[in-house]
Amino acid sequence: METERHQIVTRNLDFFYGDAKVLHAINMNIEALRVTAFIGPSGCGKTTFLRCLNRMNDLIKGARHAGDIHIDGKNIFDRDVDVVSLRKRVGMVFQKSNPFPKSVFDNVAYGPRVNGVTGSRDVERIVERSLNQAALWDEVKDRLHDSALGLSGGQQQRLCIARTLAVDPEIILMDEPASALDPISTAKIEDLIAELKQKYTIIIVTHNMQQAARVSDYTAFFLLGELIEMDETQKMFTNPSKKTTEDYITGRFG
Amino acid sequence: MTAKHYFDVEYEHLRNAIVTMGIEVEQHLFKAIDAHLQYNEALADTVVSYDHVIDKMEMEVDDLCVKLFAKLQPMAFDLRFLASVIKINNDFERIGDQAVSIARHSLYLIPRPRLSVDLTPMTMLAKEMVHHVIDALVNNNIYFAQDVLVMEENMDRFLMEYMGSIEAIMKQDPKNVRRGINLLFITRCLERIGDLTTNVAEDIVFYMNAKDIRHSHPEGEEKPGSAG
Repeated sequence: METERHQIVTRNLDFFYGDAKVLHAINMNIEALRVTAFIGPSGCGKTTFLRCLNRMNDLIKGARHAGDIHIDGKNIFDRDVDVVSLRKRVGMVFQKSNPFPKSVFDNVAYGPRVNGVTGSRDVERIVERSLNQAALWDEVKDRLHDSALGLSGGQQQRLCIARTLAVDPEIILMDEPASALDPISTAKIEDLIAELKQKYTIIIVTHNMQQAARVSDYTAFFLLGELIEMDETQKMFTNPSKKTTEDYITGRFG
Repeated sequence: MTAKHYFDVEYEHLRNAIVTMGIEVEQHLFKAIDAHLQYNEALADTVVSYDHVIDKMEMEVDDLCVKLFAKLQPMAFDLRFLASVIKINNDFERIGDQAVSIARHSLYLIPRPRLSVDLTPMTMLAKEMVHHVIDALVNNNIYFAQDVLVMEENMDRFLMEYMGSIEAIMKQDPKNVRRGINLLFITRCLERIGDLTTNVAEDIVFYMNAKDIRHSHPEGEEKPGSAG
């Protein structure tokens, strides 16, 4: 049942790559200021669904959809929706950190500058705030003008989160943000997620069941392009309603 | 489940360990009860001296649970089962302790003349409850477990009845008081065995059905001084 708490509402969303239907009538309500985890085996459609939420799939030739996704009551597929401003509102962090080959400062300043922030003091303020929010400021404040490529993997991922935060999003999509990181960097990203959900709605795709259990409030299980089950995370990992979910999360699937 | 996984072997190993613990405790209790009913001093001594074996088994099962939590990071049924085994293990050990108490109080009574109180009906019920709950554990059978919850009501009734009759005997002659007190302690041990068995039954329902039924059935409500 859709309520006011639901910031994202998906209705009968189908998605196709050419003739191949990869999402089947997805109906999902996502709460604001909560962390929602998508789990499921490779190829189940969770990343495709995630990328639908800020129309990243528009860039793929032959991709098309049917159905609606409403964010704050507005269908993001409507003709009058500006995709650039949609992606500003719905930011994305990828599996592999992808800093630009520029300085730490310029990586974070890039988005605000493109969006028309010109005053250097304003840009500096945004960069510092974003790096602070991403729990990276203390580690990089003395080397803001060094290349971002010199940062560690964990730092680069937090830099990408800072870059996403710099354009003031409302929703942050994370596609396996810690899968390439060591446990210490992973813990920092997870701490960050817990912090960020005070201000942002977060959706995270993860293959790590324990990570989903640790960081998320809600968990959705996808299989073969269908949403099998979605519930509060605590319920999903202690007493899922569907046997398929139970088999998957206990590792007995297949 | 479509295939047997390496971790299923580990859970099976744990299941065997907790069932073995349950059966050992059951034997331990049966010996204690027989020692009391037959006034068999040697058998009572055996029960007292065997307690350390139960204690060791409890530690081994606990250790196995902690290792499996760390190694398998269980979810869903596996998580509920593992969490329940830790509690069941503790309850089994405490049933073992009650068996030792029955044996110790019997060791006081055995050299002395019997009072005219026969605890056989109450001991039969305690045996039946423990046997039934082990059956429920072996077979993952919630119906057996629920039967145990019903039996516990009778156990409470027995306790009240025996308290009345033992009190009357103690009032008849002050010489009966020490033996009467020991008999009262034994009835109290049997009643606690009923409570602990009920706890195990509740844990079986929890890991099977993901339902916490503690305190939700009349006989499961907290009683003053209950085993909790």
